[in-house]
Amino acid sequence: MFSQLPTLGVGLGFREPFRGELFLRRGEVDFLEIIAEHYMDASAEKARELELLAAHFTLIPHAINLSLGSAEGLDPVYLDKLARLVNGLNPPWWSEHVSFTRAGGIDIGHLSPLPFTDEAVEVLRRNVCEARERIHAPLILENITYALAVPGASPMREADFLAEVSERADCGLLLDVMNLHANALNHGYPVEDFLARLPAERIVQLHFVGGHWHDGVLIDSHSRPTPDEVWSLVEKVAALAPVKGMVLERDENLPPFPELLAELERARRIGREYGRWA
Amino acid sequence: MGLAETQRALARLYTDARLRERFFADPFKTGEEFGLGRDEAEQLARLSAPQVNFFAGTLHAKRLQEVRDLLPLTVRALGERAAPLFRAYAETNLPGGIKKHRADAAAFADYLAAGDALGGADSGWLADLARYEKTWLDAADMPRGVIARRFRFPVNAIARDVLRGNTQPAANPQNTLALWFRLSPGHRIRHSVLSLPF
Repeated sequence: MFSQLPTLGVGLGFREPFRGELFLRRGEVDFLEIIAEHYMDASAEKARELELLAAHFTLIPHAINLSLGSAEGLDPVYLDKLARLVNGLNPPWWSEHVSFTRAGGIDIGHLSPLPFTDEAVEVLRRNVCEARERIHAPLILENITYALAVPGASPMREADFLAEVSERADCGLLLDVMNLHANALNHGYPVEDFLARLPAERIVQLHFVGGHWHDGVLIDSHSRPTPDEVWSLVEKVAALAPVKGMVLERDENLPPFPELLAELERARRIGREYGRWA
Repeated sequence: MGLAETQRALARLYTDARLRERFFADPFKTGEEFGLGRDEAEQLARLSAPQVNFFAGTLHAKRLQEVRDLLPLTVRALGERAAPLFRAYAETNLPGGIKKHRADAAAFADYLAAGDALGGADSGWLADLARYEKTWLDAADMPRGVIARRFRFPVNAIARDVLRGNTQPAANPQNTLALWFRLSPGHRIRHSVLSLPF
């Protein structure tokens, strides 16, 4: 199923500050990833912005608060609004995270880790099925960074957990290689072993970007140029997985736009070298 | 302990610093408060307190980052005070929903503009600047209509100064009236500011 998805190439996570330059140089950006929540209950300006972006780019909606890992189930109002947005855009796929952001009436405000357990796999499977009944495009799930290991019965390794989730929920994977790099360093495991355990045929898209160190912990702050170690991971994944797209996910400390384009060009060359696109 | 119970407990621990401190000091007693049995409290107590505190810190940082995007001049003008002020505000304010960052920015602006949070000689114009930026957010959400606000300081001049990098503008009180209006959903916001000579 994932082999039949269209090849998109290299894209940018859309950020409003570079909107003007993006349109001036739109031939150098193959597609955009948009934060879905920015266009739900949208103001008139944001709705116009979405229309303009959709007229010129393939858009991949990237949701951040559906909370697919919530054992309490999905928020039906939120799901309804997200479904209207995604179905309206009719994208080749959409993405969310292997995490939870809500529980007990509290909106945590960020992606929180799950225990790597069978129960969590089943929760994700159930919630993904419910989302799939409303949202028609294929779903790919992103791995997150985690500062702590959540306790649970008989936990698996993270890679095995992601493999189980993707296979039992029948989803693709959005492999964030910066998150993988950070987790591998912060929690001390070899990335080669992690990559070997993932179902490569399900890796549809990558995220890449740089982070920063704080108190001995590598943070996925999306605030720095992509470092060499992450480029090396991009190459490793491009070699083994039939990825359809790679997205530069720079949020903070935005550099001059040509520097972002230079990173896209490097990703484009990697994809070409490994036969992912022409 | 089921995943639902674990997540409910974690959501409270991540977002409530005082509860977190009490829990790690005495997991069984505090765990009882949110309905955890002894085994459940023991399981959660195995979490690393420094790691949980670190994660809770990243939640604040994430919220402040979003608020900075929505109130850029206010946060710039606050400088080093932004992070501790936001932390103090965030301990008792946790908005939710699709527009939670927007609600956070509005509530933080209200927190700065009301009470004694700011202090200091610049508290007057800083409070006005926060209200001014917050009103721009309100206007952006308005499909049509008029918003009028009165300020004690010449906020548009202050905003221009801060935008140019001067975070200590020479701000003397001057009654100022600002209007935001939009004719219809398809129209841009129009904005007008008048500083009065009294």
